[in-house]
Amino acid sequence: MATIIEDKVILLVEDNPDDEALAIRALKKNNIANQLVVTRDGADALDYLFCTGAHADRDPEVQPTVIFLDLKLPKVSGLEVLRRLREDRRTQSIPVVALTSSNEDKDIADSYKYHVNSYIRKPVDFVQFVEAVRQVGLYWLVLNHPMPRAA
Amino acid sequence: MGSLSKSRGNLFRKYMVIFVTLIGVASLTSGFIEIYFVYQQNKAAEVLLQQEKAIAAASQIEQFVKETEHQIAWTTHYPWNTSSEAVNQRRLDYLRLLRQVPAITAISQLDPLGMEQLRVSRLAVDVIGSQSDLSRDPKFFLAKTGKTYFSPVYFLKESADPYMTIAMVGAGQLAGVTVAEVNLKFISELVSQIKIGEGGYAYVVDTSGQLIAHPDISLVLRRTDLSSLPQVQAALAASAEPATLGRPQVSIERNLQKNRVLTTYQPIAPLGWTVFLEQPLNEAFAPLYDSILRAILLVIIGLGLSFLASVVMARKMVAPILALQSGAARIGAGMLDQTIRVRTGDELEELGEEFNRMSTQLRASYASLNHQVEEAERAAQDIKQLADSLEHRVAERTAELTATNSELEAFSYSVSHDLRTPLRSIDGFSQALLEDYGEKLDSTGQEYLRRVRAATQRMGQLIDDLLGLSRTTRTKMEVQDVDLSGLVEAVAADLKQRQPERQTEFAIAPGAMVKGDGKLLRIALENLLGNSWKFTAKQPQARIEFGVTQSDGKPAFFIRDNGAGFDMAYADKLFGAFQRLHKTDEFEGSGIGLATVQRVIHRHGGRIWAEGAVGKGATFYFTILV
Repeated sequence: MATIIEDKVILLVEDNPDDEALAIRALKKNNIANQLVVTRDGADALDYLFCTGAHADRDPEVQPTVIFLDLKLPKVSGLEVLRRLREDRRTQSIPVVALTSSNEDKDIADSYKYHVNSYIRKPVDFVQFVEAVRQVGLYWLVLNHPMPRAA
Repeated sequence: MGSLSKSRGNLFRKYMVIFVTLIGVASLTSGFIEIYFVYQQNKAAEVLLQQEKAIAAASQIEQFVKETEHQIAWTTHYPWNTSSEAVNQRRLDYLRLLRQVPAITAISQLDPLGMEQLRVSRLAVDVIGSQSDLSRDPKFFLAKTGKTYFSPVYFLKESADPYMTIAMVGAGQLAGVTVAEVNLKFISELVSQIKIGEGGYAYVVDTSGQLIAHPDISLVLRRTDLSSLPQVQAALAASAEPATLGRPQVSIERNLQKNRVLTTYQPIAPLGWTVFLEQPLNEAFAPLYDSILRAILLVIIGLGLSFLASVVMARKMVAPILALQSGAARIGAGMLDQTIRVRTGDELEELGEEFNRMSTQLRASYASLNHQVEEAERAAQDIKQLADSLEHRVAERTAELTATNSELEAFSYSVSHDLRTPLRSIDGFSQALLEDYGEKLDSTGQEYLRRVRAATQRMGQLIDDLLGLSRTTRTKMEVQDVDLSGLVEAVAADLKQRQPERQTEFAIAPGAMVKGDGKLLRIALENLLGNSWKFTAKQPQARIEFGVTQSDGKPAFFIRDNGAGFDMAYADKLFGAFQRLHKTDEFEGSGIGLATVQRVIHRHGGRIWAEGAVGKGATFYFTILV
């Protein structure tokens, strides 16, 4: 399988280092070699997206092609991050995939309320997880046409 | 109190009206009766007086005429002849007569042949032997029959007074006729002497209704004709029929001056004249009017006294009634300790006593009623306190339940996230070990890692099943019509699709409808049918049946299979969580499925039970009573 080498940035919002490592492994196993930015809490994720705080020097023109968002995060929850994203014109059209342990109806319903693009429950079985990452990555990074950038 | 005073006025007024009417009518009646009798008596007296006066007047006039006649007759006593001595003697007699009788104005002697031989007059020179022929004059030939002749009244050219001629035959063979002219104004003088009271007077009319004597002589001189007056007409008509003459008739008529008068008449027999007497009505009846006035005064005084008496009477009658009324009103207003004091000694006093007794009884009733009301209020208070404490307890319980529920919610959420996360790490890194370092491990090491992964995944499944069980308790019920048969069909189709290689016969009774939560019921059916599916896996001719039967008169649904079955000795352990009757390697499962089913059925108010035997299949019954 050909490696997908693009300038498309993937933002992974994940507080658990194990999950982060497994996610990176799953991406690699699927030959997804895009630039991967990892933020470890909701506040950091928002700083990155809106170029504030620690990420104030970042080029605001570069925005992630897809965001893999855990819902259970320190400081600012994943649902709050999603809500803030969707409220801002600059970030409202970025595809967000909720990647979480929870299969609570409430979490799923709230995510869709804030216009999540996909909701994927991380399976315990790592083989299944790799397959899920493969399909999602292929879809959002390759098949899907993102919103054209503003001139 | 406005209506009270108003009704007091009514009763009082009613009594007043009744009393005043009674006494008023009585005194008016007696007054009128009095007036009537006074009137009758008065009138009778007046009539009698007038009648007598009239008779007296007539006889006076008659007397005057007779006297005059007698005086004339006296001159005729001496025999008459035409000798100058005799004529002279007669002339002297006549002169003496004129002196003695002022009413005679002229007198003449006719010879037996009706020739005037002598005439003596107050107004002219005496004439002797004028020989005027009066033989055809009625005064001669009527007087010649021997009866005194009275001529009709006449008026002379030279005088305004009325006159009358009286002629009579003289004594002896050669007796002639003496003719005298009588001035009737003397009758007027006579008549003016007649008075009745102040304004009453008499007058005389002749046979034709001509006035010949009246106190006001000018009326006579003007030759007044009274024949148009009804009383005169009546008198003339009566004199034409002498049979009707009797006591003079008295009547009330209008006189010449158009005044109302009480009048009567009496004929003067030999002359055919009529004397009238009249008296102004108000004068005639003056005593009557006095009487009437007196009677009216008495009636008025009577009415006034009766009014006063009725006021007193009505007050006296109304007072106890008012006392009763105000007492009854006080009782009505709830002032039951008031008593009514009426001391009339009659039925009213009894009525007052009745009221007092009634108010006493009412007071007693009220007291008992008040007591009952107080008791009822106390009971209501107790009930309210109970309800309040119950409400309080319910609120406490609800708060506790809410707290418990939210704790459970947080716990479930935590389990859902946090318990799975390390499992994922274990599984993920075990897989990474196998992939990256597999060649460095022998087959036993690799087998161990696989076992770690299998256990991890089973743990994940257990967590999911536990969450499912807790969700059946936590989720809110949404009750609607549920087609149970349809749900069974759908779940069966799912199972067949998952393992299309299996040959399993489903017998599903159609049309089983219940009220319930479709989602929860589907979870229950998934578990029950999943069990049947699982435990018939080793059956060559697997059969799963869904149907409806009766239990205690209620529909009981059942799912029956011909699978592995179970030992009825452990039937009570079937529905406990983590209770398994089969070894894991025999039939996989967490032991949570039937616990979940039981919770769903309990939440629907139903009951679940099972029948079965080892190797002979199992039947699960349940009822739904939402």
